[in-house]
Amino acid sequence: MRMRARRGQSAVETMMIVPLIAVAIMSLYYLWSVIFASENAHIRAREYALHGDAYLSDADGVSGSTVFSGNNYARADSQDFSFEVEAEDETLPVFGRAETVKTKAFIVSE
Amino acid sequence: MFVGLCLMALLLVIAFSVNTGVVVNDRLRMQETADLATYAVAYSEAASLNDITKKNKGIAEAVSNCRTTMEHGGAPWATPCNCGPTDPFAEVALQVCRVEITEAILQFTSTASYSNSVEPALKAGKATAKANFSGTERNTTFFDDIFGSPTAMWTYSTMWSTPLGAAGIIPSIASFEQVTDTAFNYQYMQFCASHCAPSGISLSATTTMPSWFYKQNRDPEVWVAGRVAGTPEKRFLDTDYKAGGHDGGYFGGSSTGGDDMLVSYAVAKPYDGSVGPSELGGIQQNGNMIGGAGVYIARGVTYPKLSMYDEYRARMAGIQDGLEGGLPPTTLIAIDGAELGKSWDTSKFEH
Repeated sequence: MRMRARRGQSAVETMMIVPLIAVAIMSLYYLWSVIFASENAHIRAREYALHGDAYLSDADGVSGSTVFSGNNYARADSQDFSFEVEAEDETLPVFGRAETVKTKAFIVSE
Repeated sequence: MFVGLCLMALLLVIAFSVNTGVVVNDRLRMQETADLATYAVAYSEAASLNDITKKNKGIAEAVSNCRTTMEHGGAPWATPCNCGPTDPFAEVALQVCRVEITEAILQFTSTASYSNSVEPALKAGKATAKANFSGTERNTTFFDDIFGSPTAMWTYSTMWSTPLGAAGIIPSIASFEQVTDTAFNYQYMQFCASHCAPSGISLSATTTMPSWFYKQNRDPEVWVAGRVAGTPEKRFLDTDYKAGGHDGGYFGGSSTGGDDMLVSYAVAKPYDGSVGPSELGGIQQNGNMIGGAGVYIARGVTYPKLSMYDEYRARMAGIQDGLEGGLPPTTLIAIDGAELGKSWDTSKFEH
């Protein structure tokens, strides 16, 4: 009888811990997904601010003003300047749902 | 008991994972902030250089206009002709020329002053750092390449004969030298020659006239190194934070921010031409040397126009660019560290 009880206890503990581990793994997956999306959005925003879409393989979700004009940097016209770029990126889907992360990059004089 | 231990372990794993993720994310943001803030400084300096160049061109144009007037005759004294040994109208015209040229020079020196050219750049760098990553602006540092910058506030060397900084003309701008036109030719009464001759008056005279500015032994590019240092706002994530010590820091180094720096380089450079003619080691730069003799004097209307393009732009730069520019950017870090009484390990910055 004692042996059967111990086996039952292990089964119950396993049943309790497995969902927790699954939730933990999913949480980590989601958090890292958000962080990576944030990093990607930041990189895209920074890249667009400095070089426009000249070197961006995919400029979707990126908009704003850039110091790059055509194929070259723009002439510096004034000490009063303001360039602002907004970029977004999506997290990896969790349960089929992806979140959008938005960031901004600035090159401003004040 | 078992479940409780497992939960604690899981919580710790999650906490450290999140912490690591946020720190990695912040480090990336810090580097981007350093890039953008440094670029903002270079952009502002490029705009200043364009403005400075315009004012410099204004001096040259003032001199040129005076020459045109004085050498080829003009309204003040063309009629009626005064056939005396000197012409008071010409003397007045010459003084007017001096006033106009002096005013143009004042505009140049004002534009090139530290408060009008460097301070706005530093302000832009801090503003950009704050906009991109609030809190980092507290520990930002920007400094110029000493050999390239016309706005390096502490640049002075005996290799330049009359540095303006030493002369007190532009206390904080030590990279320009001023041309003195020692053969500013002017002719009295050009149009009266036939009327007065041979009355014995001198139809020509020579005087000296201050003129525009040039950079000697200077590369026209301005290098900017930007350093964004310190722990950003989320200081609680710096788990080893100690107020006064080297403890591993937020990204390594010290939590106090001194060693916890990220560096970026940018350059303000002319698209074509420069602020003034320049040479570097006797080698022509941007086609600015005249005749290969290193003489940089504005003669009438023939000042070297190629040297006066106000087409400065800013771009990001890398270590290799710095080496090509003649000065390893890491040297800048070493200099900066020496000013603070510290010895940086410059290998850290070769990203």
